[in-house]
Amino acid sequence: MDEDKSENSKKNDMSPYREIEALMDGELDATYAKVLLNKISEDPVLERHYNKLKKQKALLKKWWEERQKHPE
Amino acid sequence: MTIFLHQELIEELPKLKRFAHKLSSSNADAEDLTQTTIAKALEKKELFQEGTDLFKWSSKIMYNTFVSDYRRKTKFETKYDPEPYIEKQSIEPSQEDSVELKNVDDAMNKLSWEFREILILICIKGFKYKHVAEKLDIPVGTVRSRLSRAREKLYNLMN
Repeated sequence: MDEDKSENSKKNDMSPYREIEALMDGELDATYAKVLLNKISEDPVLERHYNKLKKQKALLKKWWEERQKHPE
Repeated sequence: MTIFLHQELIEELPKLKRFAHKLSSSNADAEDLTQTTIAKALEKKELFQEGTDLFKWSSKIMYNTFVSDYRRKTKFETKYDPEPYIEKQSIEPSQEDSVELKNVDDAMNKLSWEFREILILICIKGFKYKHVAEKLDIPVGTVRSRLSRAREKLYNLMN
């Protein structure tokens, strides 16, 4: 449903926000990653989004580690 | 000799730049490649035989530089690895840390199974989109969109 809608929305996939997500997930080649990182460093809105995702990912990893150490 | 070679190389510069653009994928890369070639040509000036074609000689240096860089990149830098930067991300000291982790725990428990699953597979376990798409039997585009919505939902729940 929603997913199909997003699936068809290629335009949405190309947004810088999606590109930043791909960057965070190691999906971009090194050359393009450099270009995008430069773009991020020049745009405070993109930089905020990048930092937000970076923090979220770090927290998720930490949460998972704790869960493995102290399983309920 | 150096002065002459330097002067002659400057004369060959437009041709070298054009060749660099043919090899490189961006203007910046082409510029870097040209600079590196000039530096290498001057370093190896003794090997240049006067009276021979300087462009042929220097473009060979350029081509070899490009090929070695390309091999190095495909061997070591095919994908940008964000992990070192994520590891560097500071998380607050322990007391606030545990509050934030409790926050993550609550939010993750409120997420749908699909969202939780995709966040665990990609953000925590580091699987590639393609691999997750195969594992879940869904298109890569669906992986991207589901992941994006899961991130947003998690962020909203935590804030």
